[in-house]
Amino acid sequence: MGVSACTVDAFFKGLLEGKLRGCRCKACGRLMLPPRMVCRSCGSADLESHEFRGEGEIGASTVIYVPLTRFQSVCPHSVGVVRLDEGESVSGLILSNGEHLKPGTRVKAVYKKDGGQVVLAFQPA
Amino acid sequence: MIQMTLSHKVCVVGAGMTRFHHKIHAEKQGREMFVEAALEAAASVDKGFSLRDAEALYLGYFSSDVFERQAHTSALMVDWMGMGPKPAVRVEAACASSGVAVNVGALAIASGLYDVVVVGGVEKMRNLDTGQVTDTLALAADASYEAAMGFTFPGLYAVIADAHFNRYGSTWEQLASVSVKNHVNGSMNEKAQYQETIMEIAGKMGERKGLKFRDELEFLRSDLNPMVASPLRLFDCCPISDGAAAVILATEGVAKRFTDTPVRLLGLGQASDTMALHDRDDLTTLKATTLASRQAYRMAGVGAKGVNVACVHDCFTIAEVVASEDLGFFPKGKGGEAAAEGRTGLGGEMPINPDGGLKAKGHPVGATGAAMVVEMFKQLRGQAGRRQVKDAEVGLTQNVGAAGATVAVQVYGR
Repeated sequence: MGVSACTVDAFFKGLLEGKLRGCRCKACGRLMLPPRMVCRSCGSADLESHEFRGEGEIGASTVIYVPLTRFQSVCPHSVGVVRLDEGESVSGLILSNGEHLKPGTRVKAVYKKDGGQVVLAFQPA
Repeated sequence: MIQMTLSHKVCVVGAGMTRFHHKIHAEKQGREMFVEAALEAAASVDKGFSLRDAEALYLGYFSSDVFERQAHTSALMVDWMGMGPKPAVRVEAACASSGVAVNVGALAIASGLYDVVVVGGVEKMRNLDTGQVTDTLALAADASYEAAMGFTFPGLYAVIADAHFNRYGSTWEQLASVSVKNHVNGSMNEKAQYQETIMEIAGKMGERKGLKFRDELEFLRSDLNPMVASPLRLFDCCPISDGAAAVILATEGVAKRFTDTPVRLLGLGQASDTMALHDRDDLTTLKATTLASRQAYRMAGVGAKGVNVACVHDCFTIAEVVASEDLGFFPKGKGGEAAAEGRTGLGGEMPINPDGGLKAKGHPVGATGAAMVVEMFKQLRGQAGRRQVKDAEVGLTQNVGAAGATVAVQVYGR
């Protein structure tokens, strides 16, 4: 996998296409999301692109009442750590109408465009 | 492999700080606050000290670039302290900037290169409004993969709290007891931003709104304590502060030139965790705290049970609970209960944050780690006044960067 496939830019371009692009270590099989350049488990730099299905459950979450300036228009909004079925986790906006979803709640990825920018978001499955 | 001993032993011979505050430093820049803290540190040296006696400066400053539109602050400070042409190094590790600077300064002395150095930290945050400060603090998390999805800094610790509640059944009421205790301690610290108990604050705020509160919890559950990131409310969060702190480190050999009662650095440790919270298997613990404290305990030849007083990084109430577990003071999952039972109060078995912690003392990000050492210098020399922990012989400081991606720990003794 070249550097072009494991950049932050490639991850967000994937989101625009409705794809959750991470990577897989060819040496040990470890999956990673977002994509990295060096394997977190074995240190190998021999990685390939891997697309995640975008389904999982809430690991833990919160409802934000004092938001970043960029998110003021959607406040209060929820964010959380989502444990994906493949075993890796990722941060995402949680589309729950400002409600707190308990750990273990099933969610699936949606890709929310916010002006020119795209945000990884999850909604209850 | 981490060495268990330092080649040259390190002592603290002086320590000083400005008051931490959200208003009183409005007219000052970071440079004025830092020089004020450094001069107080010099004045605290029993047998006299001129800043020019120091051979190097290690400065923690998280975000002068954004807060003050000023970079290269290490060179600026060493110049303003009258210490030129001595070398100066800025250390940036988010909220752990000066805790790490203390480690770096101690290692410079331990290497044998220097006999005396000044270490400290400063942050001038109040130039910006709360929204801009929230944006700036979020830079300490993974800007691309956490903040970009809407995570604020309080949001990260709120998620840690959610996971801790879910796994261990700990409660928001337990977190509230941390805030109540730290305000009691802060009321005895003339350097604290908030020197009032929560009931005193509740009385004042209630009076303005025509409300009366029977106890702390009634106030803390009210609209006067709004939600920031559930379950964390305003009084679960440390304030935005301006301030600076500085300490003077010396080799054991020259320390007696400056004082007959130095505070000894017995052990130090530092570790990193994943930058993003989501990359951690366990959200209820800061692994870097456990690792850094193990190093420091081992070097000091002291265990958690041997610690008499601790300053831990309570940027949010849940952070103090998690730290009290990760440092080994209480079993995993029992930190909230221990706080609620008063075991971490001044008279408790394991006094935590006698200075009011980040919650009441304030948290000018880059100054916090050094300010913890200022408190240890006082506690271990029996100079902490009304908040003195009785018979304190061994103290621990734990300074956390962001949500635990950096943790620096030191163990001090008399």
